[in-house]
Amino acid sequence: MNRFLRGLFAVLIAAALYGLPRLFTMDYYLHIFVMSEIYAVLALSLGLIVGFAGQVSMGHAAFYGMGAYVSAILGTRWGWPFWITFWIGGIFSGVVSYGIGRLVLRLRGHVLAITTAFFGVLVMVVMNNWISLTNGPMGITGIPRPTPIEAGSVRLVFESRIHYYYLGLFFVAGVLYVLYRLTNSRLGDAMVAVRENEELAKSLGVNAMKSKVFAFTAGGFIAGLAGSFYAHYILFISPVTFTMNESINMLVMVIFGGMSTLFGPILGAVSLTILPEFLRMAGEMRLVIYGFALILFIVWLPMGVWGTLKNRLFSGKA
Amino acid sequence: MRKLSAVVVFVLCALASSAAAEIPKAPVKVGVVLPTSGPIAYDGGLALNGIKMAVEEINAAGGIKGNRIEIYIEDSAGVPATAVAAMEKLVGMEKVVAVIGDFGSSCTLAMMDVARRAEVPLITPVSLAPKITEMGNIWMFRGCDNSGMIARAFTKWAVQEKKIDKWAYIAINTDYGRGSVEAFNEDLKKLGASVVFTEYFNQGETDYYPIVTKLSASDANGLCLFGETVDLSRVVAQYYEMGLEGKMLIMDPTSGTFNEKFIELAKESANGIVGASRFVASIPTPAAQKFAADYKGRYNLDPEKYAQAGYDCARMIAFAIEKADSLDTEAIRSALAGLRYEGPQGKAYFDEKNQLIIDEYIVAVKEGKLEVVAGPISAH
Amino acid sequence: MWTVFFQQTLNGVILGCIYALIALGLSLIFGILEMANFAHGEFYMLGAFMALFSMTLLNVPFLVALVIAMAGMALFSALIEHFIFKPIIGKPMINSMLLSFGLSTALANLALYFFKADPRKITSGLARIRFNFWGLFLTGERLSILVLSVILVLGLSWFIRYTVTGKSMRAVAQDRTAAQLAGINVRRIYAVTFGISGALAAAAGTMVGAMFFVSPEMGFTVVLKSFVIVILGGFGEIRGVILAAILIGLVESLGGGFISYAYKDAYPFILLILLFIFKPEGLTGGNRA
Repeated sequence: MNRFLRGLFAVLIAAALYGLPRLFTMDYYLHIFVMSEIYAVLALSLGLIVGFAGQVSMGHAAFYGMGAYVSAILGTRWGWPFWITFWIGGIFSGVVSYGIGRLVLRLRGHVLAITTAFFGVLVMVVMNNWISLTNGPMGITGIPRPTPIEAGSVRLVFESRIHYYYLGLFFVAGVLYVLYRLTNSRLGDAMVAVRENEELAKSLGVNAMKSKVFAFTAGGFIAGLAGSFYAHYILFISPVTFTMNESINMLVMVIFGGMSTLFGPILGAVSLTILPEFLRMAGEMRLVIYGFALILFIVWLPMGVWGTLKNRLFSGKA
Repeated sequence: MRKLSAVVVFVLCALASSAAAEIPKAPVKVGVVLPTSGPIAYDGGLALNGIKMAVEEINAAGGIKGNRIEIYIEDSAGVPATAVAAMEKLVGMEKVVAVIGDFGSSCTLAMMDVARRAEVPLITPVSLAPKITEMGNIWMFRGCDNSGMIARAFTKWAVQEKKIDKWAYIAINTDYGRGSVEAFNEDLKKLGASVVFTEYFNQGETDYYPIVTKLSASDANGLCLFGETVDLSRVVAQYYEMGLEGKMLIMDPTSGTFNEKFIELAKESANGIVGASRFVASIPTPAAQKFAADYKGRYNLDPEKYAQAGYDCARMIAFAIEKADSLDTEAIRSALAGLRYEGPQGKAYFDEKNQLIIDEYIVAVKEGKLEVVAGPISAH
Repeated sequence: MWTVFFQQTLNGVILGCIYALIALGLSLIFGILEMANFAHGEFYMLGAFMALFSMTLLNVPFLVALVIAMAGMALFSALIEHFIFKPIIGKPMINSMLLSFGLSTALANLALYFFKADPRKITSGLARIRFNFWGLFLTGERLSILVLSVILVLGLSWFIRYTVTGKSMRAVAQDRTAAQLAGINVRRIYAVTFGISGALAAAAGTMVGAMFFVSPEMGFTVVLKSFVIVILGGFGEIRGVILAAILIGLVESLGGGFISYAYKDAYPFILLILLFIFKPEGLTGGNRA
């Protein structure tokens, strides 16, 4: 019965997501939905690092940015199609992420947070000044859209926002599936063990460093994929998108939704992408409200919206 | 009888057709996307001042053929994705017929594609990146001069009149700073002057001692600055603190310093700066003087190039709508492209790439006042 | 060439003094409350505004404005601790981090709303005084920063070493529970720590406001750099923090002058990495979560 309910629930959600653009046809809404999808992937990838492995990274936008740049450069200079550069962007971010992870994951707590923050600054500085490669602050224009997919009589084009919306749905679903499998594997258990008590985990034979580096690499890889998706969606990238504020924004999304869950970061990403649009009406007070809301939230719901709900709902069963 | 009926039919047809093209009796909606929060909020606010003033003036004078203009202002915070959301909201939800924006080129470049797909004219009062008008997007207009035009007007004057043959640059590390340095280098090469020093700084930087100290060891006789008010006032103040007074001519060809705020912040250090600007409050034409007085009466501040650009862009759009006599965006776009405009600054029109062609003035700061030394230098 | 080198060195030391004042407050909070206060930059910004308004509205001289700003921010910071940080002391670090981000965003944007984005300058009357010795230039403002930082640092060291409150602070930093058992009012120590931290930030803000400008967004970039200094210098270590602050000042100044100014912001990361590679044991914070 439980299984049936779950299946029904999944079908309902899928139907709702499929039908969403039929209800909200305006490009403005679709843009917000697509951005929500991108942020959902970013928050999921950061959630793996922060929530499951327990390592606070303040430089996640760097990996997002590297994926975007690699994919955009390959696409504009050599005309490589999105379907290839998408993966290369991710792999590049993943490799850098691995290197940085090996270097900094010995650190803990605040030191790790600040070091990753400055790694983000380093990447920004390179994006801004390595003109011959990145075109510096002028950014990269003319990034190609994904080439149409032709399979038999079916031809999928990626011209308008609605196409990106459906492509994004696949993207989120894919990432969610991979992370679901990952967090429910032995590796996922090892991550959680290290998060809860590193010394204890080590004494039980868990290779703490390895599991942390793995989470960091996987997170960086996925963020790189999201960057590539972003680049080929907005069609223009420049360093101003990949700032520290963006990294912090992603962290807030993860915490808001609830870390250590998979649904939490998605909830956080979607609500924190849509919420600022509502707050547009508040004009100049927008960010003030946002700041105070964050304070109240951290004080009242430190487990995140989904984390708290889950606790309330399922505490009896668990 | 037959003849009469033909005339009646003709008149009726004329009435009908004019009625169809005429703007419906409702407010004309114009969108604005500018950074009203974030690090460039101050400068973004200046452009917004100009826009608001233009709109209020037009509305007070009866609007566009009796229709009030309503402006919808959205904050881009200087972030491209936010600028795109703002633009989508304006064209999708508010159904504006034209949009003014954005400030930074990154945001404008990101918004351009929305303008093209939604077929709504987008005019930027500030963004300088050459790409904006080079990409062949007919819906995109640049409502201000570009670095190439400024470079042509200013370098000739500086090299030939002021004999500046060794140039030093201190420029902001953005598309604006980098693009300007590139444009200037091109013209300087033609004029036979050399560049001996180039340094870039990040927006919002406070400490310029490393740069000015390094500069003190160079043999430049002209220091050329590219940046915004606040950053440049720090550069200039620290230049003087380093005891470099009188060593080189300070030049500000893109007029980041030619406004009241700069003079208030830099005080005596501002004196002696020369540069080019499409607009300063002291241009001695009646149109400029009237604009300057009205603006000052409203905001208690002398207008500068951003306020002027905001004002002009808003008016150009209003005139284009009036000329098109329609709310059809294609009609507005083609009216704007063919517009012959005359504003406080002088005559202006768009070239085939939708780049505004306007005059430049050579300006100097003397005893805390901005004086026009030469010009208008025609760019036509 | 040597003149340029010495000038850059002098610039770096003065920059370091400002960083030291800001980083010391952060370091104290780190050491005693074990939390990262990202809103520290806003304390510095508000301190500068307080000094500015005391001068323009109350017409007091610069030094009095400095004292008002320090006292005002001490009180304000203690209140912030009481009303905002209190509920989350002892919770996971990410909570205090994000809470202080929220506070930082709220305060910076409130300042933007009330004080507007246009920058203002505190006129200390010292900028016009210029010293020129052996070809090196120094303004009165910069000299006073040097003097003021020395006075404040000495005062702080004395306070922590010799007063009862200072001794209690050290005790809490070493072992919170033991200090509590020994009858120390830990809550009061927290408030005092925040107060001192706010006062130091206000002093730095006022000096920077005189040297450069006062504007609502002046806080954020500074706070990050201060964190690097705290990490390099050690949590709660006064001497280490001062050395690290001057090191960062020198690296920015000499690196910016002789290597590349545009890459300046990347230097702290390189320093951090070098430290981790060559002297990981120097990181007292490594074993704190």
